[in-house]
Amino acid sequence: MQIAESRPQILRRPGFLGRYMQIEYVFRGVVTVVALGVFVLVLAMIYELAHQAWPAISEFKLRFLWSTEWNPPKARFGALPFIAGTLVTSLLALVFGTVIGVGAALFLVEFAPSWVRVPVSSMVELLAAIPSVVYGLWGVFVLGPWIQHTAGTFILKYFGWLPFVHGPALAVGIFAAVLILTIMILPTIVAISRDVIAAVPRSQREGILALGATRWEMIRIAVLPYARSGVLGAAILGLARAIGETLAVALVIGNSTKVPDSIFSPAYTMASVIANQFREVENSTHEAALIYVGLLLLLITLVVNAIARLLVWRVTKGQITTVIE
Amino acid sequence: MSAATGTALSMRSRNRRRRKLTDAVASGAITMAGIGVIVPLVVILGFLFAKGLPALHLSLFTENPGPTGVAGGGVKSAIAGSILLLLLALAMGLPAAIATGVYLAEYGRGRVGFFVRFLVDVLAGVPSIVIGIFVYTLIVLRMGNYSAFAGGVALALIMLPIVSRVTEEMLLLVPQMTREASYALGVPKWRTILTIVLPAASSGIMTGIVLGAARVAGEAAPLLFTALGNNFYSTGVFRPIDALPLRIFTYATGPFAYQHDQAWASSFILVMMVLVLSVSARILLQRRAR
Amino acid sequence: MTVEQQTLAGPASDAHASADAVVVERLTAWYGAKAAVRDVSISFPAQKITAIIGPSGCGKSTQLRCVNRMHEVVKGARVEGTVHVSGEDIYAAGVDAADVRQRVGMVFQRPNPFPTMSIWDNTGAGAKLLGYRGRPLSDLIESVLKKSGLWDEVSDKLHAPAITLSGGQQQRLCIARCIAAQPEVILMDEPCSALDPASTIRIEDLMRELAQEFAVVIVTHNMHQAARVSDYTAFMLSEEGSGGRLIEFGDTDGIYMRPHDARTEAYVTGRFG
Repeated sequence: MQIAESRPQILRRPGFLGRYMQIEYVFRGVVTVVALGVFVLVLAMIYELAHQAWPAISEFKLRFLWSTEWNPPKARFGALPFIAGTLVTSLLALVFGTVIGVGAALFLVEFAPSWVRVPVSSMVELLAAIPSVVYGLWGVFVLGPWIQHTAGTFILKYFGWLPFVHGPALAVGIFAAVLILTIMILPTIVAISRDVIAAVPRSQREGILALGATRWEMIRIAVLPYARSGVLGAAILGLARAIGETLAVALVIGNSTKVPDSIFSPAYTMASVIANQFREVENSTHEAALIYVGLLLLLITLVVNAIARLLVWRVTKGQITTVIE
Repeated sequence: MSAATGTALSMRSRNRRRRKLTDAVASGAITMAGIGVIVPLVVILGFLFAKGLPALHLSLFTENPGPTGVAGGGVKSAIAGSILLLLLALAMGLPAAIATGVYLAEYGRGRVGFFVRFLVDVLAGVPSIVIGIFVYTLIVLRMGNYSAFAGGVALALIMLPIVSRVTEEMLLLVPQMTREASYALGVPKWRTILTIVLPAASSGIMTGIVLGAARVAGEAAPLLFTALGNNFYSTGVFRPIDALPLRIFTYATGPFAYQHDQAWASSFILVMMVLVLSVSARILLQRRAR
Repeated sequence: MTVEQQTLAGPASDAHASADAVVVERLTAWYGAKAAVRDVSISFPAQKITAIIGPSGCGKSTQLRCVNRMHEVVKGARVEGTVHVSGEDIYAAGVDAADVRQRVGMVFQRPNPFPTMSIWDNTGAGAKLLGYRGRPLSDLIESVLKKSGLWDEVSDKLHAPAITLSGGQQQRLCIARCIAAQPEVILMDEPCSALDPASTIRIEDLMRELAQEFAVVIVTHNMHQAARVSDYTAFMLSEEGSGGRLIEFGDTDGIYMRPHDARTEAYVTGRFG
């Protein structure tokens, strides 16, 4: 009784705790609903795209994926050239980006003195901040002419015997797109690989060094295998970025609806064909077909991103990296 | 070496020479990769300065584009449009992003939270052009016309994952003791979050917003079929509107030299702005995270 | 203790002086501006076990790591003085650290098998670097696993991941891996401190067998272990944090029963540390 009387005035008002608890439930509910809204959002995206693409989906079904006929006037559409273009440019960018990116990450962790590490890391991250359209502009006016006049002739001269290396070295095409995409995905790969490689425990490095290993042997035997799933995740994240990259590619890819047969061929990727053709659709089937391409693009990036995130998370245990795509 | 015979020794020294050579070659390649990655940045920035700076005139900021083909004019409409779009994106995207960040940090430490976090990261990876198509089908088709509003929605969707995750990160940096001190005083959780935790993390959250803004300022793909672009000055929220990256895209593919010059100058402005925002945001983020 | 007294106490005046696998002279080791080891001169005889004891922070691990040039792996680390292994100065200009580390092997405090590799691959990792392949490699792996007493336990699962082994087994694996690289000296940095007593006994028995082939130097904070296992004992101490010095060195019985220095006596009778 003594205790009840000594409780502060405010606590003795009826319904006090009840009201505060009500607000707590409401607050928590609102916040949770908004957060779950992301889930709704992703579902809505898939639904809306599928809904708008339905005329094309019902007409072309899965044939869409391997037909090469893209004929807007006749309303006959097949997306294989774009799928091929996306695959080729993204995979090539993935290969180059991973080799150079992991190499740079190794440099930053194993070789670079600390006064070099921070500036170079920052400069690589700055690359990520440059807008896609600026990469495209640079691609059109700088990279393209360079390919046409310098790099292209060099490659044709020494590598022209390879099956996919022929034809005039135009300023636009697969090669230009691959170069730009490689540069654009480097920051992603370097930043994540750097974190993953730096996280390899000292005991592992010392273990192999104590057996008489050289620095490269240490990297090859103790560091890279330990870091491999994280590096793989970084690479796949880079791949996801390359697949979705639109404007820079649109400006240098050459806009051809034929399946490319040489690295210097003009082509189209799924993202760039949408960007270039959407505003000038000739009929509603055309628009539906482009949205169908968009749907495919969405599904592919969802899957690739999911795989990549799971891989990276397994290694970094969900710690947030400072690279935000 | 007491156990080694003469032949074993020479075999070993050949082996050792080969290993040292491999090490030297690999080290050289790795160093080249390390230096090579900064080459693109230097080259691109170099060209931006070389081609953008000379074309930078005051008229860029004060004049609208003239009729196509006529030299002169500026990109005032694009700059104004970019600002309006950014404001719309912030107005529409921030509440949801911060709410999501609050959920993830304060209520989402379990399985549902893992699921939401995963989706937010996956959303971050959706190509911006796909988001553009989505908003086109969701809003533009239903409204019947392109609009700044639709563009703002698209940009808000792109900004959402960035700001959410940074908000979560910044909220997690607030020590648990701070929250517990508040609970011990009888303050309920929601009030603790609103009056104590959020303010404590506010400067970090601000930098997250800056990062998000820097990212969407440079986006043009989602605007292609939402805001559409506009050759005339317009600030109508429900009408098509121009944006700086859109104009750069248009001019880059245009046939006229004045368009190319203005594209370079506009890129210079855009990149400088984006870089300054990104760099300062990242520096602030890293300092807080330590 | 003066330098002369330290030298007198060391095996340099022993009849077996020429059988010293490692001779350390006036070694000082820094981490940045702080000296962890100061002016230590000591010799580790071949085919004997030498234990280095002393309280925490006395520099015994640092001392050990200077013998296989692992000390310099840490940024800002520096060394002065000389270390001769089998008569060769390992810090001379032009000497490859990797080469030194093959000849002077190390076993660490916590077992560190490579998690992505099998038992077989782990054991052979060092030997492969030396060029072992095929039949000679498998023979070598089998023989070192037998020597470290692990063969019977793993012969049927050689390709299982090494991390599926218990702690004691992992440490024996690391020892097998170390001797497969065919060193002359084996350094052990508190090899049993992370293990249970049963594993500790097994590894101590293993050490005695290893000493028949190699010079073994072990750092331990467990005085009883040092007394059980070693032929010679060195006592180090860092006074006022000025860096670890060698206070006394001698055969193990002598150090424990009849220490010359008052500080040695205080430590071995448990008055500090």
